[in-house]
Amino acid sequence: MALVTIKLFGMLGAMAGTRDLQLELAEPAHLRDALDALEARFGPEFRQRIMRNPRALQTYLRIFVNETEVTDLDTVLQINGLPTEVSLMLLPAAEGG
Amino acid sequence: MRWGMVIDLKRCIGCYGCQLSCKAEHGTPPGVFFARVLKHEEGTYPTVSMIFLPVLCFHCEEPPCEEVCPTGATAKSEADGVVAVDADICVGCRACMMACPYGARYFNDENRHYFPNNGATPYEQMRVQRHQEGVVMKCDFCRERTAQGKEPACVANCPTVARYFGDLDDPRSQVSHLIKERGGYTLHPELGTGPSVYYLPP
Amino acid sequence: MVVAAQAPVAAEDVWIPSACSMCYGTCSILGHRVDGVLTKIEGNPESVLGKGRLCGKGISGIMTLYDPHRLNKPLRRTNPEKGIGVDPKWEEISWDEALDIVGEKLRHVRQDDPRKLFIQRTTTNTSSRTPWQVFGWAFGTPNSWVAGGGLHCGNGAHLISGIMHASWSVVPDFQYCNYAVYFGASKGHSAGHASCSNMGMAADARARGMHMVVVDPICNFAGAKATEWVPLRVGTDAAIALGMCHTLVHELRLWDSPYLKAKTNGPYLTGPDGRYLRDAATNKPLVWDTQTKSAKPFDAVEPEQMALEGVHTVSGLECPTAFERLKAHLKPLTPEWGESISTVPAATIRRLGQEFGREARIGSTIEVQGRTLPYRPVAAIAFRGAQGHKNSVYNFLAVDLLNELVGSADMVGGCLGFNPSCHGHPETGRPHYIPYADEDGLMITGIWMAPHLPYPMHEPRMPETMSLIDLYPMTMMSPLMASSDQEEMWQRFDLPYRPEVLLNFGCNSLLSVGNAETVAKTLKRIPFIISIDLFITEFSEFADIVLPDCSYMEAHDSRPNFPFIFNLPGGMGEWCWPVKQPVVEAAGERRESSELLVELADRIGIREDLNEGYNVSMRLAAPFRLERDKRYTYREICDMELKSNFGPEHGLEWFKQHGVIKWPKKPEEVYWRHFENVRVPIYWEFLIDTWEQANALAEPRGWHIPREYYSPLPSFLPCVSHEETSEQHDLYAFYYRDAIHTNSFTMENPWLDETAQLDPFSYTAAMHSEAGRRKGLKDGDWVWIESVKGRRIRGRVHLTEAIHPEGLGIAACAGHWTEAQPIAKGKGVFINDLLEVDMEHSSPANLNLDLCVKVGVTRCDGEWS
Repeated sequence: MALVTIKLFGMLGAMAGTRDLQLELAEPAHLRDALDALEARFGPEFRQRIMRNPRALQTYLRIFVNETEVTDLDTVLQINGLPTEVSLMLLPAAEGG
Repeated sequence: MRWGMVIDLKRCIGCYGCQLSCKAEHGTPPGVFFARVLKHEEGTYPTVSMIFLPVLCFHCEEPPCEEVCPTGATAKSEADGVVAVDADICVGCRACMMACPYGARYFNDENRHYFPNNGATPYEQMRVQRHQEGVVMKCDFCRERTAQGKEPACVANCPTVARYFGDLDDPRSQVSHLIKERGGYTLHPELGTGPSVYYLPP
Repeated sequence: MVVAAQAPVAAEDVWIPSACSMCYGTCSILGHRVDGVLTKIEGNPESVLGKGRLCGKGISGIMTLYDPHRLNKPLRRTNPEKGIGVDPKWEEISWDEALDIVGEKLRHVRQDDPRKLFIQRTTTNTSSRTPWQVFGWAFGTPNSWVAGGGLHCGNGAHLISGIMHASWSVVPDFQYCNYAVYFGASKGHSAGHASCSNMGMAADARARGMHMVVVDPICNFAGAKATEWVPLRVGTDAAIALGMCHTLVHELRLWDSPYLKAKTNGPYLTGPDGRYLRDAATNKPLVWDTQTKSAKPFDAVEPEQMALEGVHTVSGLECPTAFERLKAHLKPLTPEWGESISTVPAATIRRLGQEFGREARIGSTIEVQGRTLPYRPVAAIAFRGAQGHKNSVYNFLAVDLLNELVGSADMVGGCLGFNPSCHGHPETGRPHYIPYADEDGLMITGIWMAPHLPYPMHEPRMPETMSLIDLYPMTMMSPLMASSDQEEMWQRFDLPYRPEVLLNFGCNSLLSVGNAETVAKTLKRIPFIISIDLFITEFSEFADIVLPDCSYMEAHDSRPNFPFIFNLPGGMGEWCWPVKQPVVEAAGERRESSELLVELADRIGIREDLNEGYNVSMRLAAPFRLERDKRYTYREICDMELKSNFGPEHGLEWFKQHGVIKWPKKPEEVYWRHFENVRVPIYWEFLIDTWEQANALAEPRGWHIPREYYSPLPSFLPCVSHEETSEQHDLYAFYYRDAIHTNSFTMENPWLDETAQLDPFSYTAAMHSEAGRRKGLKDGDWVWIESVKGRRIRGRVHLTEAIHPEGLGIAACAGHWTEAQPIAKGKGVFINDLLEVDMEHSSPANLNLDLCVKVGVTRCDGEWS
């Protein structure tokens, strides 16, 4: 199993009610699997906030895997067995202007 | 030599950069503008044109202000053609203001400030001490700046590069060249004052 | 006679590089400090931003810095009653006390529901953008706006510039353009983005002989410098632009076919419902391959092989290309039709179309720094004036279609977005951004001013924001934040919360949005208001706590001119990154708002979120990413950003010494469109779905979203004012930006005020001489200006030939009444007080507030005359 630390910042953290959580994912774990696990935990509405469609992330979501920005859902999360941190920050999809 | 200025009306957009960079450079009191921008409308709708006309002291070859000055405070420099007021000699009679056909002179009755109920700002405290009270004041083509090899403030600052400064006596200078090539003209030539400020057509 | 004192020799005499903030143009400056006193502001000649030259506003910053009416201490309201003209009875409090109160309020709201925080921030101080955005992200509120800034600026312009040019705004390529048409824009002739740089570049273009047509109801600024001024009925710009398009397409059959095939969705096939025909396997839009005579995915056919025109039979369906649909759409939109709407003679519209087409030199190329590129020296640009209406989107899009038809969009001499592509500093490759394509081949901007990208548009959804932008995805700024019908709309769409705390930075929404009465009512509904500002303003009358801010002369910022799509001049030249630093020490107890937000984040317990927000916003790269749990000052964050972008030796201290860093632009960056494989939509197919989805949400709630605003092709749609029939209300009042004032902020600057008083237009309502005669008015008369809705303002008229006979042109954003700004008080004409702020007067497409009002004008005798 791959142990992945998830950090939810700003609005996502406020929505989820927590900033820090840990996921256990089957190996090999991909970003997609982590997002599936988040959906399982927080519901489909949470997924809608982060996915534009089944193939693409929302343009206003920023995801970093070990501090490197990624946009590919197939990004492998477990690297050489080292602990992995995935941080997600949802920027406002729509501001007042 | 004779310092002169060329103002390209095609380039000027009436942003007031000259009027205010002059004010900032000299710290002139309220109501005093050594450099100004006038807006002037010509024609009838819809073939109307709006002219932005920057004006300042024209440093005339035959300055009417100099002729009427009883003390010799106003004098045209033989070295560079700049018409200036020696504040130490001026008695504030204001005859020069009546004589100047271009309205380029101002009387400084007292050093007033821009926030009338609050005294001088730190900036005004520094700048206003330059100005004597009870005398006439005017543009001197930024003598302090030109002495340091800089252009006058209004010229150096113009965002549209509409103002040029140089020696009118030198046929190779940029100002002489522009006047010749672009048909530079002066305002109210019929008065025979021989302004040192030329305009290029809009 | 008083003898001048001998000036002592100064102990300190330095010139300090920084950035102007007298408007959002943010030109680079040098502040001359002598013995601790600012004695002059000049442009910084080392910088591309203004090139050492400043407009009148920039020069006059001294008087804003030293205004004795500036705030110096935190204030607390003691009078619980709020209202226009009601004295809050301020008491001075300590910063400790103020921060305790503010921190507690914010902590409480965040625990309850972060969306209940409403942030409003001025656009004038560009440096405030990043710290305030990041604070909002970290806090978790989607509710922020720029008060009048957006509504009265570029709601449609920014959207469409983003979709069509990957940039915030557009300009003619001044260095190469030969023929520019300005629709309600002043680029290079007044305030605005890259203002002083553009002034110089536009002047060079005029001197070079660039022909400039200015379509505008008033002949001031840009109109005054035009080769030809074309006065039009206010708000009808689309009718002229579409008439010109008609001339190009139907009378001349002139368009840039290779461009339209390769760079637009013109060749995409459309089905009977108007949507793209899509490939069953890949879902990609199909085009007609002229070689195989079959429909294929757009990326499987070389552009030159695509059919641009025609109706093609695919699976038994008759499928016109998008361009064919545009052609059919333009057929009835003749110059004669344009005249009937705009009053501009059909012959003029036709001639402008012909000239535009001829001067475009379709098919020609030019060499720029060794690269052979398409040469299209024509540009049609628009800005605030054209799109400041209910028909915001189509007015702007219609203008941009001209560029698309002749292939001049982001080509040499054409209509340029400001710097949409940057390959980075040669030593670090940063910053780096390039427009890229989505699955449909359409362009997504490489960088934007906010996370809410113009394209791809999100699906309309039930509103979670006060603005209803969720439901109206084309919106950049929304009047709902201060509209008379906000509560009704929130109820209708089940907004699950109401704003509880408003955190204001430098906005004076009482003056800047619309009529003050409506705005005041919305403010009174918000239980707690904190305002960070330079002055007590009319807005402060509704604030509970007021905190004294540092002005730009007293503050730091690492990115006053970034993103480059906002403010760096377009065209060839140099990239330039300046910083902002204090020129003088902050007076009183003023604090930099960026530092204050760091302090507040700590008190609320969102330091980690804030630091991560800065990592995201500034795209900080290791090793210059912020550690999450470490406390940084904003200055330290600035230092990290500069080092992240330009290497460890180029931190904040280096920039404070040197002012700017510069490197040359490449043709591949400036004329990026030729090099990047992206397309832009001349046919906004996605609006079909957008309307259906929005309508599906709105209709069951009794709300009508008119479909004609969501057609894929632009039409002229009338403003409310165009449909008023009252005979007493015979003029279209509109406002425009004055070169000597920035919104309501500079009215208190005595140098600018004095200059504006001497200007015939700045503080008056300009009326055509004939209209004045008809009403028995003389130049300078005091008048009442009254809207159909019965709102009334007073002002002086200026009779002129330089305005459309139906227009009433009012400059700037005047109307101050507070005693706390004695210079500003009572100056100018408060046109915003005539504006209705509600859905009826907003665009059903992008919620743009309509800024023209049908008015009657009568002499105001008695006390005012």
